[in-house]
Amino acid sequence: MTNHWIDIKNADVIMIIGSNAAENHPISMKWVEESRRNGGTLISVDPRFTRTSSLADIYAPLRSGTDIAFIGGLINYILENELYHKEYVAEYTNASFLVNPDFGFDDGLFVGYNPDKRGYDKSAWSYQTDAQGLPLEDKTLQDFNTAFQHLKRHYARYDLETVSSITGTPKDALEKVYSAYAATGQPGKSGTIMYAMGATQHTYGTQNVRSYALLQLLLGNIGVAGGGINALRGLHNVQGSTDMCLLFHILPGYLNTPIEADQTLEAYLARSTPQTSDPNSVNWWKNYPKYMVSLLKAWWGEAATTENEFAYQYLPKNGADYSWISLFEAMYQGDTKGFLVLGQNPAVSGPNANMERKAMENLDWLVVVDLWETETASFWKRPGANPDDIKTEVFLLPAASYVERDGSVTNSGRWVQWRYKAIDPLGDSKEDLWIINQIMQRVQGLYATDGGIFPEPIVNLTWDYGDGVPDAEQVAREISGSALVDLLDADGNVLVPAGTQVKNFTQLRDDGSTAAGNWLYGYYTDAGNLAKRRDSVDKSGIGLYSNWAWDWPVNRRIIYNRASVHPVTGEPWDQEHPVIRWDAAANKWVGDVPDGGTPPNTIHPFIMKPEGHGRIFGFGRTDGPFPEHYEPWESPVANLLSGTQNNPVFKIWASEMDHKGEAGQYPVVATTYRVTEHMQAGAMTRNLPWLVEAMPELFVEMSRELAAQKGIKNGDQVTVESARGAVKAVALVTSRFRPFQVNGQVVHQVGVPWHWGYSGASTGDSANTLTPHVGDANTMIPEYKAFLCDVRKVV
Amino acid sequence: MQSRYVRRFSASERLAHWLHFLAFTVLLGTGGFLYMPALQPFTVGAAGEAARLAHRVAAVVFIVTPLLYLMGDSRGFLGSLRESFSWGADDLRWLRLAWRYYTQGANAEGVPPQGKYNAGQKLNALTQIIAFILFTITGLIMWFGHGAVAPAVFRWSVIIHDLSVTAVLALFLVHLYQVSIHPFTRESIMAMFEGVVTREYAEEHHGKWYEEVKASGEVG
Amino acid sequence: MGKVSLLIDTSKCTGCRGCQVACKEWNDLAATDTTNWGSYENPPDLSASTWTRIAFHEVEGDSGVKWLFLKQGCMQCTQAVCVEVCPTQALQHHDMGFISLDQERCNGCGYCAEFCPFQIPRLEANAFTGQGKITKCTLCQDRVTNDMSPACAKTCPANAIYFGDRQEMLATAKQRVDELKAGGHSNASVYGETELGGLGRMYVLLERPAQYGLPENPSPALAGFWQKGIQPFGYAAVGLTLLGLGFNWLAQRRNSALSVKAQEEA
Repeated sequence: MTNHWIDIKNADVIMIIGSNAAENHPISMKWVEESRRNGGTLISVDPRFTRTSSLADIYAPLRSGTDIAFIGGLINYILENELYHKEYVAEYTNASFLVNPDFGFDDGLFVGYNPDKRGYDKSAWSYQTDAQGLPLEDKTLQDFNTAFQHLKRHYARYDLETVSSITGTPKDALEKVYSAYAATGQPGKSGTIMYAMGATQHTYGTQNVRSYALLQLLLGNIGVAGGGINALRGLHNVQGSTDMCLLFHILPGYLNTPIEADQTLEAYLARSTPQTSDPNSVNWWKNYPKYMVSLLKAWWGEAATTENEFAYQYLPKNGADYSWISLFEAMYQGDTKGFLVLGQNPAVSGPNANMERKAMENLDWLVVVDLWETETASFWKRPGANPDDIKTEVFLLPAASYVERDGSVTNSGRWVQWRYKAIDPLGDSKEDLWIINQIMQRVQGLYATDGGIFPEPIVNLTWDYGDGVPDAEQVAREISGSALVDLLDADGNVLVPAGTQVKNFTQLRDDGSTAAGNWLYGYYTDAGNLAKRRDSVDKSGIGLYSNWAWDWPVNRRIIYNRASVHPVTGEPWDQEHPVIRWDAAANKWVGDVPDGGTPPNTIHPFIMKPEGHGRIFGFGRTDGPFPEHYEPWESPVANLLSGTQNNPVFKIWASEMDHKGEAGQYPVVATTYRVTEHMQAGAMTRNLPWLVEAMPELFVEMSRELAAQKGIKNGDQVTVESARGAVKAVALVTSRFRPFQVNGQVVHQVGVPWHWGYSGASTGDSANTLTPHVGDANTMIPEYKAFLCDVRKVV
Repeated sequence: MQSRYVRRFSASERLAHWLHFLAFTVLLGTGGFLYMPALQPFTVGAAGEAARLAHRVAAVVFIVTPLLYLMGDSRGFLGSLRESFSWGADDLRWLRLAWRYYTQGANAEGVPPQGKYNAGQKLNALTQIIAFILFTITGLIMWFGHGAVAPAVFRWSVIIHDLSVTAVLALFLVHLYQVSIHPFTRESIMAMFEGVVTREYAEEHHGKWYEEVKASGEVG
Repeated sequence: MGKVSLLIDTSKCTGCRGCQVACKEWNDLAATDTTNWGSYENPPDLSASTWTRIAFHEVEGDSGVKWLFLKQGCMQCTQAVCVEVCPTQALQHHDMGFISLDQERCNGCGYCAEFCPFQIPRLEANAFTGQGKITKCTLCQDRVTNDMSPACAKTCPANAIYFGDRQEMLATAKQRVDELKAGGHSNASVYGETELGGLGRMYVLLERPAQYGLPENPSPALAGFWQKGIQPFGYAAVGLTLLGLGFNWLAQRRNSALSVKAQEEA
């Protein structure tokens, strides 16, 4: 979230798209209702009428996988009717920047496409620059080459008629949504977008989110109270795990993983540290070397010296794709031999689950750390498998639950909140920290005694957590950062004495004098563990609660908040909900922690970009600077907007279990989702009798029309089948699902929750045996949300 | 030698009567707790549950008794049934003059001679039969109908059950009074213990029946 | 404390059923075996182990489909039929305005279950012996009499369940209905202000009560008939009978005496 949960209440319009917040983020509805109570409007955009839709002022159905068309239509509506926030767009975004004249777009493809590599040469996706390398601008936005004009031309094709034909959304519903949401482009009005996996789990999921960002920039909704683009995380600490790099392509604090070209620390830092000659651009990432060197010092301590590039060479530099799908493809090919699973249940949650379960048979060993014997832990005795044929040695380590251990969790609003242990772990269960510590101590010991090809990174790793349960606060201090020697200011005075915590990342240095496990997470200072703060008094008037816990970065509750004020005066666009305000008398900003403390009219607000502007033209992605509508990998219809049916960049796999379904055999669109009563892959809830009672079985929701066509009655047992698998489920025939009119053709859609599996108190087939093994072109997140199937009654 | 007595009730009839009496009094008592604030402690908690259980056991006896009667003495059962439903001018006249019968005796002026059962007894029997049917139906609904029948059906069952009790109870009191207190008629209780009444009683109170019995030659 | 009330704002309810589970957790009620019967709704009905539940009503209207959620449970009536028909005073009016249930006193007759206009109390009894106890929501008597809110109100993540002084709840409800009406929900209403003398569980409804399965005009039906009709009638009938028998006894005694005297005179 650029903003945070409570801030939802400040919104004038809330669009929940690609999320069923009432179902999966029930607490958020408290703030949604607060907004509505103050006159706010709730829009729910979803393939089916959900618990969220039941509360909405406007509901618009859309066919799964057509978000870009839907939002593209809205962007077009805004541009055609000139409803964008003109000053904001001109001053704070790169709309006025002139784009390289070689840039172009034709029939669904941006310039530079190479079909053999399924990738783009992005050299023409760039700005025109002057002699100093500064982008050329036309503040009138009229130049043919401005990003703004490119945007206009790109989305001119997304007219109401076309969008309705693609999405299946009735035109009147589109118009209602468009006019309500576009109204937030007025200065002082705010609109927020709440999205979740419904947006991201597509082969163009990143571009779905990009389309929201674009929309919000046009309407001036980024940085303001009640605005932002707000990813609702699916678990209490998904945000934390992302920040701490539980993703394959980053190091803690969103630092890059080295690639082959980064043979030296200098080369790595040169590639990673952006430059600008614009004096008004803060270009925050210019500090990159400080964060990277501090991280290396945190990891390798004394062994990280100026002489050895701070142990930079200990890091692998292959830049390989270790995303979920790739890992399982490799496992399926027999390339992966060992698998350590903590708090995950791939046998239920992975796409094409039959294939991923099969892939695990190729492992020599599997360690599962969990509260329960999950489907993954028991994959070797799953229905249809012969345990005698599976040689994988499986270890199940009983884990302590979250009430049995201390530590921090980071919520979607980036709040780092400390949690205390309520009881000691039951039975033989152990804290994750204890388990990792024990494993690492043994691995380190083995490398120390037996050596190996490259033992130094392991042997020299700072690992001083003792023999018992590691102290979570010690880990917190290590993450937050400390001075290794006395840090001196320019005058030679001691700023931070050696051995004490730094105040925040501004005190980190690139000379090896500081260590920090994650530059973003400076919450453990000499004032103590700020994640423990519990001051429930709100002094801001807009619900910032700045002394409750701690928010990254630097306790800033709403990021890019310099965009919430007029560029010259520093007065908030929205006087009723000021995030920050320039107090000329005191010569300082009041309110939230500002994104840069200099006076108004001195810096550009988007400080994380070298050009300091929000990107209307966004060239960072692999698949295009503007989101373009493509059909899901499996779709019953042809792309109405171009001859390019699918995202041209995502990777297509070709193992013998990677089947693709065709509309002839599988005419029905399917999607997967969660229900309130169950948690993710279900181990934690399918073993709780009260929740099983409330939601006992796998079901498939479908329209009355489809049910009639298939001879299915409500409550019937039906089979849902895709090219990859089949599940048995109870038919839930409902008016909440309606057939879509897509380009004159009737398209039916069904939905299946994915919580069930063959282990635990409540068992059932896993919806992910249906889903395809393809992922987003940028992030590799699987396309769980749109695929093809057929349904039939079990006779 | 001519017997002093006339046979009035068979063993089956007597057994059925006393079973019915027993079941009825238990039902009356366990049900009646509900109506009498002074007895409400018997309805509360475990005592109440025991009372409800006793009510059900008695109800089974109550319902089964007529069947036992029918099986034990079908002639008597059917005969009594027929008798209860056959009404003539004498019955109506008797009813009109019932007060005289009960205050002056069977030989009071104008009181017509009666058959085996006088009109009052027939009226009692008819009420008992109708109430029996109502008790059984509404009782079974209350017993097994929870959640199975519409609430309105249940509610009316309670009301009908309770109204039936009121009617039957009034007649029961009259009946008790006659067979145990009233000097003119209390002799008749002998028929329910011994199965017989004296010739004098039969002749005086059930003249027509006495003649029939004499004519049939069962008594000399 | 004066009279208290729950207030359930259906316009805010997300149907998450946190209240349903919290009720079971606090009151230590077992989960039952259920199956999906073509609905999100489960357990399918209130029962001895389910004192509150969310009923899901899918209503198709001119403006599209609506999905209405209603938290069911004891309405805590002022004119409480259950209290009227309960022969054991197991059900009683508590000073705080809810209907308390003393299971020790309950004999399992089930009249409350059958006479309740909302069909809330549930009897789980042996079909043959009739042995069993009635169950229903008592507004978490053990909590509310100790200055805590009921478990359902405490847990509701959507802030759709309020608990407090009944007059305050009523004011809140009316204010909310005004807001909703101003927002275009012309059918919005308060349910429970006057129904059955005023309910200790009030609702803010978006639509007509019938669309939620609530009776538009709940009435005590035949409840009072028993105490107010049958019981006095029974007493009167028995009394009159005894009186008649008394007169009869006196009359026959007088007649007997007269006839003895006549014989003597003769």
